[in-house]
Amino acid sequence: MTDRPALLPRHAFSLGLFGLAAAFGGLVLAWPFLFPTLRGGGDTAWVTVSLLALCLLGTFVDAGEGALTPRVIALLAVLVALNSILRFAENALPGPGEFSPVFALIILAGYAFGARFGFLTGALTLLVSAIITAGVGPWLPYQMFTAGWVGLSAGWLPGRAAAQPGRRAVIGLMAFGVVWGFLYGAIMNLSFWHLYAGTGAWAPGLGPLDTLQRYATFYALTSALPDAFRALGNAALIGLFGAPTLAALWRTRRSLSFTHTTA
Amino acid sequence: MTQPRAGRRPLSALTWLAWVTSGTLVALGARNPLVGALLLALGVAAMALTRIPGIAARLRLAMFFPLAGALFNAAYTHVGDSVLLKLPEAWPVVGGSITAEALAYGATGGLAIGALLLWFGVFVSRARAYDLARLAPRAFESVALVVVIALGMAPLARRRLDEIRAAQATRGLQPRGLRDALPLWTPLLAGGLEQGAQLAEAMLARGFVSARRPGSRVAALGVGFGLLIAAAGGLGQLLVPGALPVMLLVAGAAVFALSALAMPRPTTTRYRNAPFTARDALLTTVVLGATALLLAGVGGRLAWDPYPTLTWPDLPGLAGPALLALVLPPLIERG
Repeated sequence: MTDRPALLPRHAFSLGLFGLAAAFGGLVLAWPFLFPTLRGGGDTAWVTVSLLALCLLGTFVDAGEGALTPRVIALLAVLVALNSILRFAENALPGPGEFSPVFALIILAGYAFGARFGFLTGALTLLVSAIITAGVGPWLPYQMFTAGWVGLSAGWLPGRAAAQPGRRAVIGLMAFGVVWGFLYGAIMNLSFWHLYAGTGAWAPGLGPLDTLQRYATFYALTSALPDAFRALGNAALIGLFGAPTLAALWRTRRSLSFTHTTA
Repeated sequence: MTQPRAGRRPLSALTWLAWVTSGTLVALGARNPLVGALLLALGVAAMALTRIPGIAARLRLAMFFPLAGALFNAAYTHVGDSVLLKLPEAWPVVGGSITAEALAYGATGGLAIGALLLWFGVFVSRARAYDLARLAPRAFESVALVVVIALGMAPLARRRLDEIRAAQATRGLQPRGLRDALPLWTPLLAGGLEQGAQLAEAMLARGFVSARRPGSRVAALGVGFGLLIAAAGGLGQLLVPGALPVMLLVAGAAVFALSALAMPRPTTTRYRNAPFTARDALLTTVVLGATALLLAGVGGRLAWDPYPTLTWPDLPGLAGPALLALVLPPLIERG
């Protein structure tokens, strides 16, 4: 039994493929800043959606290559199902602004079970909940990839090796939830920002800094307030439910890390 | 899921997948308000033919997208000759001319998304998640399994939540705020994790293994290689649009798909068979053929740009029949 179990095996090959796909996805999402001389429009939309879908599949291939044991499959399915129910509830009773209850569990799962598990929890939660709520569409790869990154980055936070998560971990995760509350909206806006022209909107040919400045204006005026509800909601949910949820996930982690070998 | 007429075999999940892919490609590929309106009408027809309830509510939701798209685009894009009104330039972002061109362009984009909402509603209702998971290549089998299990568990979790709520109510708990949800969430999570552990044991007892198989690493290498080629093509298409980047993108996607398909698949038995019949093959061919015709044959004339002066969109003669061919799967399913 180890203190810090690896639910998904850490083969250099698997990590390489996963890293390649996840990093390419990040590049695709950030294209307006990295390649500001590109032209926007419909072509850009279909190319970015296709590339993101391929990158997502790339991350799933890693998981499919003998990495997911029955225990991991069942655990992942349970967390995805529970989180999808939360999204269903959100659709039935919409919260203020962009508040959504799904990110808290993605963050907690990523923190408890590691980066790649967190990525899969985030991406598959958005997929399954989209099927349940009939929210499947071309925006889904963006949502899946960004939610995947929420879980992925939660797995990189320090303190995962602790025997039991303490109050400091919960406070840290609340702050992390606030950051992602804004960041998720900022990344999702990039999926359509290039389709609009005019004040505060994307324009080809600008340098990265100018583009960033324009986007900051656009984001501050259109999305910051609704996204603040998501950020505060994440913090509130993690603050209220974080400790008991992490305790339950930590217990599961310990039971999953138990292996016995015969001499 | 509503059932087709008794005695008829439902269409294969692959046919529905081809159908919804065609709708998506046409909606996103041909930015044309007439095509969007026709796709929306076809979506309503498909819902009616496959007897999906709540058409009016779904249509209201679908119509929200063109409305919101028009308003949003008009507020942010101040380009076009037909100025409807002028907002003070001092107003950040929204200040400037509100033009008919921007309204039309935003509504067209929203129309495509609204139509897709209806099409995907039909797809989710007709194609069983289990059959779709079976279609997944070996490379994605585990993830597809997670999706299928989660889809099956979600209604159970909802039922368990109702039971927990009833049990807590008998103890005098009446949830009023977020804080009161903790006694509901904790047993729901603990019960779910317990159920997951039982499921894992059941899978192990039935011989489910996920060991790496010979040849899988070579295939995974192909997947990574395909991803690289596709990424190079995609970025090339964005930087220097042309035939070569598109070919690279398609070639990369093909290498990716072939490598994923080439992963060794374990020999398993199936409880339920969902064969791909000749009827399915014919319908898939017709649907994909119509899509190819729309995107390649008449695609150039379908493309519509309202800027700088609003013009009436063009709909070539062949586009109508090709679009109508897309209603065949729901029509045949109804029987």
